[in-house]
Amino acid sequence: MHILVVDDSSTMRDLLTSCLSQQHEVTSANDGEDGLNLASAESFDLVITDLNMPKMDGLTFARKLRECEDYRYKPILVLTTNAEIETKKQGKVAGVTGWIIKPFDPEQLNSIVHRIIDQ
Amino acid sequence: MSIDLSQFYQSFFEESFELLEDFEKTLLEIDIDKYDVEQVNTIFRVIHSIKGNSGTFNFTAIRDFTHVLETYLNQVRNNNTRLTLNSVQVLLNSTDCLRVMLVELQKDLTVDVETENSKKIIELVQSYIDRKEDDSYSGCEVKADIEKINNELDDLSTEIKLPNRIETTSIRVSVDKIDELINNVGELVIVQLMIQDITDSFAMHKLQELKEAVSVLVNTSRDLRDGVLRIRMLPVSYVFNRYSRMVKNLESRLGKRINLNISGEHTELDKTVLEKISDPIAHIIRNSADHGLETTRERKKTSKPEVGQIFLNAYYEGGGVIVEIGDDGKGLNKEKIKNKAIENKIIKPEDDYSDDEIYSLIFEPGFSTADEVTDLSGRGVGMDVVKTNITDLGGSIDVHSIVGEGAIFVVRLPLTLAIIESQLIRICNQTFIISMVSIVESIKIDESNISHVTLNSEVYKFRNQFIPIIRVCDQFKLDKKLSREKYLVIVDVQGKLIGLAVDELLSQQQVVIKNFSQNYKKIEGISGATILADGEVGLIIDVYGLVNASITNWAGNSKLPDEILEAGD
Repeated sequence: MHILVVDDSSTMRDLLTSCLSQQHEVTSANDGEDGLNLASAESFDLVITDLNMPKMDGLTFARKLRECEDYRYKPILVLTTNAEIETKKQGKVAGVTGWIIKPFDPEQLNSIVHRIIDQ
Repeated sequence: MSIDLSQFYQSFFEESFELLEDFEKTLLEIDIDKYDVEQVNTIFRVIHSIKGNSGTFNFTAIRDFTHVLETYLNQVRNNNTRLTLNSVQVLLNSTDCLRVMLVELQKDLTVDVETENSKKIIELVQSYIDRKEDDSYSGCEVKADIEKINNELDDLSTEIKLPNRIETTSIRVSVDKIDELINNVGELVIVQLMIQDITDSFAMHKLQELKEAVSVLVNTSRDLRDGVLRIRMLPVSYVFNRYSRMVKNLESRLGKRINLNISGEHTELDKTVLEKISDPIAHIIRNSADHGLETTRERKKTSKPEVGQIFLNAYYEGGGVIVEIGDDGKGLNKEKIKNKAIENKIIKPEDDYSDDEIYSLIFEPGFSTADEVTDLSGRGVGMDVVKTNITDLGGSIDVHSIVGEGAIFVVRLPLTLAIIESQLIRICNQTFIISMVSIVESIKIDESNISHVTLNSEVYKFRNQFIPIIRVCDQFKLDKKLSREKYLVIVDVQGKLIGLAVDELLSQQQVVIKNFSQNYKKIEGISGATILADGEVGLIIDVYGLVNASITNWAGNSKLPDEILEAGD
């Protein structure tokens, strides 16, 4: 599995990468714009993105990703501290598959990723 | 499978400190009247990231602290409330507070606790959040509240001890500079091998080869020396950047609107010089903000823009660096200074002084014209201390002022304290040293070009202009019988040419400056000494001081004699 991780925090990118890279191939990006460029160059099986990022936020990124033929049905997970109903509604419209709420347990993250893939 | 989170702590701390720098920088750029969405987004994002990361690593105190800030900033972001001078100040304080918390946590991961300051800040920010929800505040209550907050803030700013960002024991050097040094050392090794090779089996026909090798050695070692000195050079932004924050603090404390304009921040200075001028400059800025700039009301009355300007500029001039600190305030009060000086018996009422002379009285010990001692400038540290600090570094300070338009302090500083390129001269059988940077050129004296203006002053006709002559042997009270002045060393002092009469010109070389110990009395016009190649001690002439000292003998005219300079042909 090839996973794209999009987060503006370098600590978060490092953490996610090392959590996931034991079983998957992981590529990371700084923001939505960067992520979109990477996603168009390569086909990822799963995308995990942060919400609050400079240049392009996570929801805009998800929406744009859904517009691409290749990512119409691929899972997009949002990693966030903000789990308000309103945000989730907006996420649904943008095409978000699921939510991982920060702080998260690395093992929990892996099991979520597995569940998503098995579906 | 389990992940050891501790391997990411270092990354977390580094990123958090970087984020806080951004946060602080953006906050300082925010103009309360017209900030843009992007600025708010940036500061929100920083706090959001720190909160998210600290939550992940279970640093609960930092998470809870940033959570409150985030809630407030989210309201700002959604236009439910606006940033105010007060809230920006509190946010700035929160960066200090977060830094302290992070530093403590980094030292000991179990110290994840709230501090007194973080509690206070949380309380303040919470009150902003609550206020938005409860709009029933009457005007009077709001005012009282702001006063309360201001008081609290004063407490905070005195309590928070910022981790000192200037470390005296270490220095950050760019890799480029180090590479250059390694390169130099490489060349030095090669030339050493060359010399060794030549001398191992030396014969007279190899003399030329040896000379060449030695000249390479001279060049390489000079490059190495320059390189090493450059390590000590830091851009002035190193200290200038701290003043933005200080001015922000002054703004809220004084209730004035102040804008700090910084330019020339890439000018480089020796680290020691830089560290030592940091406080004097801060003091001058505080003075400008406190005494120089008028209150907003006064500015309105005189139809000046409401926001007062303070300028901070640095640039190279000659062999040194000039730092200018100016403001567009009311300027120095000549009468007040004069009266105070008379009162303190520094001058006599009947004496006649030029404007600049009166202004320079503020550098006299124990001089303060402020009617009431304010919290800021009236801390017993006067401009005399500022002046002493700067002259101790081999620098000087001047002040110029125009009533109603502002004042400017001009600080001259040497680039480095250690080594100077110099011209060795001989006067009355003694060797003196003049820094090359002040020398324009040296000429042989043609007696017919000398004219006497008054009894004690002479001028020299130099390319159709007349320049004053200073006879160094008179100035230093040397034995006139030994003197046979043949040359004129023409120096540039504040843009004006002065001729120094000397007996002989010797070689040009680099000298290592040795400071006099405290046992010796300060001699006007001598800045230090050096040991020459033959072991003799050579005194280093401080051209600026020498010219100033001789000018005081100049028929009561303390300025450079313009009228003589412009006498023309």
